[in-house]
Amino acid sequence: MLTVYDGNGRSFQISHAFAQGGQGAISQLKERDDLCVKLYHQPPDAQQIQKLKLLQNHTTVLTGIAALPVSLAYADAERKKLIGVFFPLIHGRAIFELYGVRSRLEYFPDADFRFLIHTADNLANAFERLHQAGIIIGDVNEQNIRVLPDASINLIDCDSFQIADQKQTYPSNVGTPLWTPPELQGMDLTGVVRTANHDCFGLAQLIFLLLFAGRHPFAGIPRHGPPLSPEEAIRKYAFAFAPEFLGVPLRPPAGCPPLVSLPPEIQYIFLRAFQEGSAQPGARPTATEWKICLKRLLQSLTICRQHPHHVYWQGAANCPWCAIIRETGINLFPATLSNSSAVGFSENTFLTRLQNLTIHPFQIQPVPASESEPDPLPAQPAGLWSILQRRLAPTRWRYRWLGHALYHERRVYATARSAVRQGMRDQQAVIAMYHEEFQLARRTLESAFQELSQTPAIRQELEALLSQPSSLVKMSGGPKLSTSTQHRLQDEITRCENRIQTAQQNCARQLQVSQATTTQAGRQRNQAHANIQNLIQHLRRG
Amino acid sequence: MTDKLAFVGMEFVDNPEPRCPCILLLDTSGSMRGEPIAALNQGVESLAEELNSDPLARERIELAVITFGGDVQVVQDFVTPASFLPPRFEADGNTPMGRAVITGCQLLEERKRMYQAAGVNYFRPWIFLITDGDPTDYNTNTWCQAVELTRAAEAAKSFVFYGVAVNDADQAKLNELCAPHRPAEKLRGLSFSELFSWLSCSLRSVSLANPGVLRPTLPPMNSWALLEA
Repeated sequence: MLTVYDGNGRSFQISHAFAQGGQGAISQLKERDDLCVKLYHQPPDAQQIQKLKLLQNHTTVLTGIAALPVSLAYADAERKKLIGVFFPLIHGRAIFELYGVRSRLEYFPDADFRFLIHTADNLANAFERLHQAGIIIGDVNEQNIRVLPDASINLIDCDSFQIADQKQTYPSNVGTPLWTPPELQGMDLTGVVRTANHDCFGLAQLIFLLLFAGRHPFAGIPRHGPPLSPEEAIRKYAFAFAPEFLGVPLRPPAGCPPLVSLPPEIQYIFLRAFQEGSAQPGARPTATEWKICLKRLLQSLTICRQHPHHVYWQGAANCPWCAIIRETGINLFPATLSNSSAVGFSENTFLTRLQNLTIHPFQIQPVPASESEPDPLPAQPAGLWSILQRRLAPTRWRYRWLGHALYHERRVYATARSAVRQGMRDQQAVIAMYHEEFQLARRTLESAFQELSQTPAIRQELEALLSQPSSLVKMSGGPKLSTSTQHRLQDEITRCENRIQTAQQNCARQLQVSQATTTQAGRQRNQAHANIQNLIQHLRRG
Repeated sequence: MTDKLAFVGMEFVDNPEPRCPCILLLDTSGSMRGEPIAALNQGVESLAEELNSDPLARERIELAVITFGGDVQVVQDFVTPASFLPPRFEADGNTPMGRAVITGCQLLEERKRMYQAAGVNYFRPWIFLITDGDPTDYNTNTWCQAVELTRAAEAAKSFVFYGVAVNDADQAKLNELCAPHRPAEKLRGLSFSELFSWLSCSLRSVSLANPGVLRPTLPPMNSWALLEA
């Protein structure tokens, strides 16, 4: 167990590493659950130390915005050997787990479009505050921004920020190609001085991902020419959602909300962030501008009459999320188990029911890899023989003391580990079976429709219905299906719904059981692992 | 009507993350019978499990499995790890390796077209071939075609091909499929679990780098590869 010391000489016990980076490993502390420590693989040089100290000046002011250094970490109480740095420990999820639809439904099940705009607004606020403090983020990416359940934002991995004092600039040196602005693409970023305008490229991309259900602004379908790699697309300012007349070589993929589903001022600032000319100093929309526009968007939202979970800009021609359902059959903001009962869908509109037949995003629950506190060591053997042996043959004595426990723990570890593996396999099988059942039910429904729609009269009815998106809203008043057709459709859908619901319930139940046992086994495994490490450490110490 | 309900690229609508496709071409011929096939089964299971434990990788990596033992079978088309059900392999038949490689390339091309049609970025795909045998279609047109395909793909950097030789596999023939700078590796004993653990780590680091990055740093192979003296 390693001890580290902070700038005041206070000691902390390291409990376990939970993240590995290129420069160092980040560990939790035993005494504090609001702090973590990053231990560098290479001792930091004078430049790095100066940068950490400069960043530390802003720590208090920027609490709740960025996890800036709390203190330097030393290997000794005399603070001679610098080995790392203390950061606030930030919980929440990485931002990609919010903009990714499947993980959003898992970790933020109640988050609607409004929540995503709030997050974007908080993100812009964080960028604004950092830029005001003279800090440039540099390495903006999907993994070093955390979102908390209340949509607040915290930046982590802050030792790569860029900051300056009177004498010099301490650059970020790192970057991620997918998040690098066109003007820096392909460059070696070591020593490159970054600007707020560079950061604002990443900010605009993140806001885009949040507002467009995880779609990357530079991923599209070629209008002409060969497919572009993402880096090429960025370098060519090929913002796939730009209006066609701008001559961008990409067009938006299917199943995305269109750019025009957002207010003109937001369309305009997305264009300013991504189009040619945005590399000019100060050309991209600043964090402050984003904040103003997003605040205004928050005030001009409306709720879809068809799906109460669909929130969108009131000026849009129609609900973009419903349009995606019509296009692909997928509901990006479905009613979740936690909120569906409260809303009460209009049961009779069969198209609504059809649209709600979406696959539930079951996921395998990863077993936490964290280490636990080792159990106390077995009692030392007593007696004269033991004292003698300890003096004369310490290794053998240690083995007599701990060997049996080690053997036992290893067996426990092996059993628990295979139980964890079995559990994960079971979960995977359960999910795969659910997927199969869902597809099967869906296919049955489709063939039923195919059969139905071969009757010309019914076909006409259906086509008339589908060609008129507004008919969805007023099913009762608008064009109506004949009663017999309705009945047949209702029956088919009900059968399909029941089948899917049963499958989903079974899956949920089986997953729950399996997850419980797997987590239990995981805990056992972690415990045994900690014990083994501890025993080995004591066996070797001699 | 049916068109509107069809599942066109459904997996890309609610998960447009860039994809990192990997095809496993697995030798399930008669010579793999017994311990090797059991170790292979276990290895593939642990691969899926390890991939599932990484939140971003499990949205990005897609696995497909093709076996060649007697005939060539697409056992699993591309899926993300959460819906990947590790198949149970049975060892039987001869070793139509060339045909398997061609099938793999076709499957991959098809998948790439789907990515392009769905407007989803992808990383450089991986084809990972594991064999303990002698290709039974060696010196046929099929074999020549397979060699041509892998060589052309390596030159165009359209995928990365890894060959792994188990036991007494004919490494020289396997090397014909591999790029000269990335010759086939020899598996140490039956350390399949180490092999798949390496594959999982590598795929994760590839998928977390960025699409288009040609050579992210991969973990060392010494846990499973028999290094030539």
